[in-house]
Amino acid sequence: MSEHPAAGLDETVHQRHRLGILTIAAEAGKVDFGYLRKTLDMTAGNLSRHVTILDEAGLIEVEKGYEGKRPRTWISISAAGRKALAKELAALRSLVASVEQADSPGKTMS
Amino acid sequence: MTEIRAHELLDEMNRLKIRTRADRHAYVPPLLLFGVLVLLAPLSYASVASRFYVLGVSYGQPSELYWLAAVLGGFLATAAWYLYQGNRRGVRTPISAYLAIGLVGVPAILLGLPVASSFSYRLSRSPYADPSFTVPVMLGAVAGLASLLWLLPKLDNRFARGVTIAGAMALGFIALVTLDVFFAPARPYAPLLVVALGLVGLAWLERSRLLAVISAAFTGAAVLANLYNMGNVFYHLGIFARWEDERTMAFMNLLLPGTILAVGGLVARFGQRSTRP
Repeated sequence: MSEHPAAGLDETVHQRHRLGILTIAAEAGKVDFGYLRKTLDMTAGNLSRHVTILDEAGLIEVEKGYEGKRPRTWISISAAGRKALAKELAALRSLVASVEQADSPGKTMS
Repeated sequence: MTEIRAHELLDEMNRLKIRTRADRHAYVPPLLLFGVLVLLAPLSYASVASRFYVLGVSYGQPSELYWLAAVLGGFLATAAWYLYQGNRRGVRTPISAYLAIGLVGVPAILLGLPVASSFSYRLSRSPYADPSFTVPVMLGAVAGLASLLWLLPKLDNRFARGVTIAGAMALGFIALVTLDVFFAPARPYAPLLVVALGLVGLAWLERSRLLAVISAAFTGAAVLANLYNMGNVFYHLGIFARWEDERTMAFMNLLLPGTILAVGGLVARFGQRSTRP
C-alpha cells in the first residue's frame, strides 16, 4: 500500500499563513512586510512570528533596511523555500486527488 | 486535515498568487515608451557621413546613435520604473534577467555594426557580414546559449552559476552581434530585435500572457522589418512612391512594430483598468 498523501505535508510549511507568505514570496522577487500584512490580513506581531519561523528554517531570507527614516523589511524566498513550497502544494494536490478518486463511483478500495 | 480544507487551501494560495502577480504588473509604461521611441526613430535616418572614429571604428550615423540612446535609455528607464513601482506597491518583480538582456544587447548594437562596417568600404562587402560567416557563428552561439540556460537551474553552487551566467551572456552577445551584422547590409533595424528580446524576457518575468502576445507580435514585426522592405506594401497601396528618401523608408519599415507596441500598451492599460478593483 502506498504512503498516505498527508505524509508529504511539512510541519513548518503546512500552516495557512506560512504557506501564504511562501506563495507570495515565490511569485515576487522581493515582498515588503507591509504588503504581506495587508494581503494576508494579519497583525504585525503575528506576521513577525511566522516570518521568524520561516527564516530560522532557511525557507526565506529577511533583509532589513531603511527607506529614508522609515524602517522597511523585504522578504524573499530561498531555494530551499521554493522546493518546500512545491513539495507542499504537490502533497495537497495529491491529497485532494486521492479523496476525489475515492469518492468517484466504481472505485474499489485497496 | 480534511480534503475540503486541502482544497480550500489550494484555492486560497492560487488567489494569492494571482493577486500578487496583478499587483506587480508594471509593463504598460515600458510598452508605450518603446512604442514612441520606435515611431520617432525615422527622424534620425538621413544620409550623412560618419562623424568620428574610436580605435578605427566609425561612429556617428545619427540613426546608430539614436538606437543606442533609445535602447539603452529604454532599458534603464524600464528598470528604474520597475524598481519605483516595486517600492511603491511593496512587491518587486525580479528584473535582473531583463537587465542582463540589456547589458548584452546594448553593446551588441554599439559594437557589432560599427566594427563590421569599419572593416570594409561597404558593409555588404565585409567578410564579417557574409552569411557563410554570420550564420554558423550565430547558430553555434545560440546552441551554446540554449545549453547553458538548460544547465543553469540544475546548478546549486554559486560560483558555477556565476560562470554559467557569464558564459550565457557572452554567447548571447555573439549571437546578437552576428544577427545585427547579418541583417544590416539590407536594412538597419536590428536594434528592434534587442527590444523584442527584452520584452519577451519581461513577459516571462511578469508571467503575463497579454505581454507575451504583444511581444510575439512585435518580434514578428521586427523580423519582418529586417527581412522585407515594407515600402513595397505602401507603394502597392498607392500611399508612397517606389523609391523614397531614407527617412520615409524608415518610417514605412518602423510603423508596424512601433504601432504594435503603442496600441498593445493602450490595450493592456485598458485591460488593467477594467480588471483591477
